[in-house]
Amino acid sequence: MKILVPVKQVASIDGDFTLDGAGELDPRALHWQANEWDAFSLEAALQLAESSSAGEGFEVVVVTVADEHGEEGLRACLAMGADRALRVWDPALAGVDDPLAIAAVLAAVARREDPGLILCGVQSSDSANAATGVALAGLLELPRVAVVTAIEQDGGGLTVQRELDGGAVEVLRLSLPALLTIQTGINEPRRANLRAIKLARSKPSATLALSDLDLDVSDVREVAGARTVRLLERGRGEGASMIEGPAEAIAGRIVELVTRELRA
Amino acid sequence: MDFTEPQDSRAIRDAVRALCERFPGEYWRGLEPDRYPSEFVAALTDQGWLAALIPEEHGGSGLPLATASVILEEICASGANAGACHAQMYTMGTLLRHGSEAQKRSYLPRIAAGELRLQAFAVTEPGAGSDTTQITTRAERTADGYVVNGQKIWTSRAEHSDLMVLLARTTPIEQLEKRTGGLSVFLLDMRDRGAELTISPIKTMMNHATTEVFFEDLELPAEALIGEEGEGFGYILDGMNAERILIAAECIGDCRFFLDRAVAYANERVVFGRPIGANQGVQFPLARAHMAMSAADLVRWKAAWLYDQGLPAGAEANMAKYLASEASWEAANAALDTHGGFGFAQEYDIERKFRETRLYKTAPVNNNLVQAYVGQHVLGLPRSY
Repeated sequence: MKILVPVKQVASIDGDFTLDGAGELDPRALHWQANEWDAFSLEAALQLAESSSAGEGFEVVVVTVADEHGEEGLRACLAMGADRALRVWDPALAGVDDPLAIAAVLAAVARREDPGLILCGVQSSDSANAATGVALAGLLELPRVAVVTAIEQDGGGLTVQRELDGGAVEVLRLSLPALLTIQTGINEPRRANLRAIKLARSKPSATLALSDLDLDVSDVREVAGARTVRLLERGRGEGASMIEGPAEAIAGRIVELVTRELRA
Repeated sequence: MDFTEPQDSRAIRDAVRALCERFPGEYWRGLEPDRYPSEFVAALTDQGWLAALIPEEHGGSGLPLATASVILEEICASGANAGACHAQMYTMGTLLRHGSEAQKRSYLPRIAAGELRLQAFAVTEPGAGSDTTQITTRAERTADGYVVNGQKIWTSRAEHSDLMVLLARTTPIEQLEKRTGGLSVFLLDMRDRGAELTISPIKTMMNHATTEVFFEDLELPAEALIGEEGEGFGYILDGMNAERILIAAECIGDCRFFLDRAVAYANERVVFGRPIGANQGVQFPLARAHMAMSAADLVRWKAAWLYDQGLPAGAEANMAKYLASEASWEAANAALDTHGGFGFAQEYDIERKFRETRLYKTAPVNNNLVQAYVGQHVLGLPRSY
């Protein structure tokens, strides 16, 4: 079986950033790193592949929609144990970070790859829509379960758990193909070792243009549900006040403030 | 000119950093004054980090020195102490470059797998110091091998190593025409030895597991000889460039540790109504240490590049080690001053790293000798010692 794992390199912002007049962020203030959720979805895929009954071949394929910033993240996934990597990019996709648009691209990849299971992270830490996975399931008309906290193989299908409010756990069985969005903490993602980092370079990796997926730029842009108009910076330090004085006085003041907040 | 870091550096940094996070400051403080970080070394070995320089055909990763140096840099930058195990990475170089095929096949895969530790390098003697040609530990030829008598000092990690690279005199000094001749290198198996081999720990100001080693009629088989008899001095010298470049990288890691901690503290510690980092007396020493680190780092990368190209790297390797160890000492002092009294408190780890990084101004070669080398061999001045 093939498991497709969509991943994303997310941007985190330096402490000192400024927005220009058009509300654009200076890209030099951005640091790129792997989305936290993706390590858990990839680990879940690798564990399923490893626990499968002997004889059944599993292939774990990671995919990202990104410019060259995505390469590093894909290589890290290959070093962790993924078998193959795909990167989809077209200059026309620059600035597109809408879940529906990204899901449209991923759906085209999924149709081409025909995976038995798709494991997405619940969300990405930078745009935090928690929508790409479920949108992808919708486009592919796949059964899906969101915010999964446990997975077990169950014959030809899966039994999965998700946590509900108040500590209740929902247990669901589903047949494949299917899509799950994976919550952090479901497992302990493995760390690549030196051998794996070296080996990652020899694993298959391909870059696809939209045309390779029979997609047009307009197919993607038109489905976008939202477009970023501009970014605004919230005033810093508002509402903060420094408490000064000897330790007892500071402690007393904190008690006073917390008590007031709790009553409010 | 291309200042891009070597391939896979980012992945290596992330993975090493993640491993080191399992061994935080408390772990290292708990080992003081003299416990060996066995768990840390085992974790590094399991993930293959210490086999980085062993060629793939012998079970290692065959990384270039520049890439391998990233591993040790990151260990130090995380607050850990690479000095406990760095030699497992490079001591095998003497065996790799000068050993026979049979020796390499027999030892390197097991060193790469961590089954055998080769991280003791016995060169210095109480009566010879940095003047290696004056060593007196004697390996005398017998019918089927050698018998060794003598004493070494500052042999680090000998208690935590299965094998030792030993430099010993095979021809008495008075019979030599050239003073660098007459020395040979042996691969000594230290396991299952009795009174013929005595290893005595030396307590030092930091946790470095260094020792004195005594040989009394210690027998070595003929196969223990590495390369040609009498050529040992040259073999030892050409391993030193790799060691110096790697230790320069460790010092760069130490600089990063001190600066990261000091900058965070200077931004957050408020005295007289503002962060102490707003004071030039605090800020400028940190800025100078950063500049010293940046300059040293350029020489480190150049030295590593020369080494990996197979070009002469002696001058740059020595200069990198000098500049980086001076920079890390500058950063250590700036971090200590920034932290004020808290810098002396053990729980901040500044005083521990301060003691650890100080070593590299003195070892593996004293910075005075680096200056003498540059004066004489780079600038063409008369020999000063």
